[in-house]
This record gives sequence, C-alpha cells and structure tokens, in this order.
Amino acid sequence: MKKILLFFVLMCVLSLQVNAKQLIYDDFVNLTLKGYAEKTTQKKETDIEDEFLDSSFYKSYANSKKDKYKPQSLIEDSFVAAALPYLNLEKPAPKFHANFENYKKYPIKIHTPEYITTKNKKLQGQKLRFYTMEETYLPDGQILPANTEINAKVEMVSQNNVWGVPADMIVNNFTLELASKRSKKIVHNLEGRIEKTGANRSYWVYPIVEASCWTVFCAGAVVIPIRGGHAKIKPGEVHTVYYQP
Amino acid sequence: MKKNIILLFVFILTGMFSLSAYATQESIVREQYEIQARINKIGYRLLNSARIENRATFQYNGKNIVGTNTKSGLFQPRRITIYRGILTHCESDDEIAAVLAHEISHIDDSYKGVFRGSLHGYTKSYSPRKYVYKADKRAVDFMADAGYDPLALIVILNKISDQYRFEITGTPFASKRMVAIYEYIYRNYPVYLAKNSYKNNVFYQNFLLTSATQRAKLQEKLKDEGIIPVSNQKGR
Repeated sequence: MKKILLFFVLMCVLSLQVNAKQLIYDDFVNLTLKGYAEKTTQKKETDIEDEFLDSSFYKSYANSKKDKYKPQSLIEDSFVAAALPYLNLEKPAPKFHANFENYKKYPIKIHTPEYITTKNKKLQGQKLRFYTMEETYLPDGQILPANTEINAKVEMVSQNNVWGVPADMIVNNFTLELASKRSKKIVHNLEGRIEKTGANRSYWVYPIVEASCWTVFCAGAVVIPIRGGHAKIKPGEVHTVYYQP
Repeated sequence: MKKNIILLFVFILTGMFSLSAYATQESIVREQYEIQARINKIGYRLLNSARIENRATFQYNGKNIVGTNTKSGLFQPRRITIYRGILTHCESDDEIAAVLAHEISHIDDSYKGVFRGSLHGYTKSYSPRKYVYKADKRAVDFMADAGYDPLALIVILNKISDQYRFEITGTPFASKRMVAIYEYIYRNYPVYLAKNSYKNNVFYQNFLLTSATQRAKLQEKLKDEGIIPVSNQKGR
C-alpha cells in the first residue's frame, strides 16, 4: 500500500514539473521590473501629506507651475491650410472590392507621343496622355476607335543614384472616358500599370571597384560616381492596359 | 486516513497547476493566432488592392524587437516578419498596414531584375536610401489603394524610428523620411491632409512640431516650382 502511495505522490510531483515547464516567463520583465508592483503598492500605502507645502506659499507656486504646463492648443498645419483652396477633396476609391473571379479582360494597346523620362525632376504626379493604337471591341458592342485618349498619372518616381543604381518610374491610374447611352460620359478605371527601370549599372560598377581594390590601389573608385540609367517611356512604345467590365 | 486526505489534496493541487499551465499556453496560442490572422488580413488586403502580382508571406514573431525583418535575398523566402515589439506601438490597423506596405514594396522590388531578381539585394545594398524612400512612397500608394489612411505611415514612423546624428546607417533620417512622405501625400493624395483624421493625434502633432522648418522649406520649394496638387491640375 505504501509503495502505491509513494508511486502516486511521485507521479503527482513529476507531472507538476512537466506542466510547469509549459509556462513561459517574461525574463525581461522579471529581470528589470522585479518588485515593481510591490513598490508601487507600497508607495501608495506610505504616501505622506506634505503639511508644510500645503500651508506655505509653495502651494500656490506649484499650482502656477502646473498651469504653465497645461496642454497647449493644437498645432495647426499652416502649410495645408494655405493650400486648402487648391486641394481636391475627392477621396480616391479603394480598390479592394475588385472581382478577381472575373477573368474577362479586354486588352487595349496604347502609346504616348511624348518622351517621358525621369530626367524631368517634376515628373512625379504629372498627368499623362496615352492614345489607343487600334480599334478595340468592348462588351455591349461598343467600339473604342483608334487614337482615343486615355489618361494616366505618373504615380511614383525614384531617382537614380551613384554606384550605378537605376531610376524607377511607375505610371498608373489609367482612365478611359466612354459615352453612355444617356450621352453622359462615364470614367472607367483600367487595369494595368507601366513600370520602368533605367539601366542597372551596379552590376559592373561594383565588380570594377572591388577588383581595383585588390590590384591597383582603389583606382576603380573613379567609377563610383557613375549613376544608373534614367527610366523612360519612348514615343510609339506599345503598352497594354485592360478594360474590365 | 490523514495520509489519504493529504494525497488527495496534493493530487487536486497538481491538477490545478497543470490546468492553469495548459490554459496559459492555450491563451498564448490563441493570442498568436489572432495577431497572425489580423496581420494576414491586412497584408493580403494590401496585396490585392494594389494588384501586386508577386507573392509575399507574413509572419508574426513574439520577440520584443521594435522592427520588421524582410527576407528577400538570394536564397531567402520573401517573407515579412513582424515582431511583437513593433505591434505594441501600432494603435490601429492603419498603422500595421503602414508597416506592412513599406515591406511589401521591398518584396515587390526583389522580383525585378535579372535572374528573377537575384541581384536586386546586391543593387539595394549600394543605395539603401533610395530604396527606403521608394518603399515609403509605394507604401503610401498601397495604403490609399487599400482604403487605409496613409498618414498612419508618418505616425508610426514618428513612434518607432530613431533619429541618428549622422546618416551612416544606410537609412535616411527619420525626420527626412517623414517630410518626404508628407510631400508625397500632399502631391498625390491631398485629401488625406485636408480631411486629416490624425489632426488631434499626439504623435502627428509631434511631427508637425518637429517638422515646422522642413515644411516651411517645402512650402517655398513648391511655390518656386509653381506646383499645385496634381489632382487639381487641368491638363499638363
């Protein structure tokens, strides 16, 4: 009987150890904030009223200090306030309601007559005009004639850099204006974007610098200022965007 | 008899301990599951809304690190790891979206270039600043597409980014980054500034306080360029 009881007690103790391991302790908190909780409670218990301060002029001084550090009024963004009359207060429509099950896409081939390059420092955010290359048949029997204007926007420009790092440009937000049956024009958002990257010269700039460091004393460092290529869209270059009904 | 009672007591006590341990573990797993689900939901919403045709995965890590880890190198899995430390700073989905959107941009970049983007990490290492600025701009686009407020990117950056004395760490000054994001939002999505939902947010207020000089410079710059917000321009 004793042996069984002893075995039972042993099992209990063993299971206690096994399960106790599953508890994860926050070592960081244990190390740094040990006794913090007790201290704070103790502090509350041992709060002593400063009778001298209460009865002296320091009280009014302390109050005046408090007043001084009252939260200040909100900081206004004067920059935006000044530009407010020019701002378009139309919120861009979120695109997460797209129907990804609909695979019906009507490709539209487009081109631009302009030479667009990231050399132009003011390119970011500019509106661009593209034109359809050929007649395109859309659903509901609509025909999109050649040379129809399609608007787009230069969404992002990232300039090139030394070490041969290229510039990037993304053109997005393609929109097409179509006349509806009620003769009102409806703006359709088109799928697709144009992403352009300049010539990546870092592939050969770095090896030259590295090799020169091992052979001639850092002579290859002269190629470090070489910048990567500019991203560009050439006139007549054909791109495809998609009309999704 | 006494022995039996003591044994029974020990047995009950042990059971209680093991139950509580199990409950603790269960709550940790549940918490991790909920956070992971939240991150996935935000991450995939960003990917779908921005029509990013390249894959990325998201992982939550319980380490108390204020940062993220984007593995997009040559033999790495293109996975975004978001640590518990950074999540403690995020007060809303917009702020989590801001963190993820920035990393998604890095992942998207890693697909571009020769050999399936194998050498992208190599190019990125020479000009980290350019790619950080680019990722910030793309993050704003992704957030606007997904219906999140891009100003959250400024707010979260203000909370988590340290201000170094020199730009020797490869990444630009946090203050410069915030102003660059501000400028990008101003040019492309001015409505978020005009109808500012972070107007009363203490962190955004702090940004306004610390960036006053830079914003004044920006104002002068835009005046010189004669730029009015793009969305209000008629033609080119």
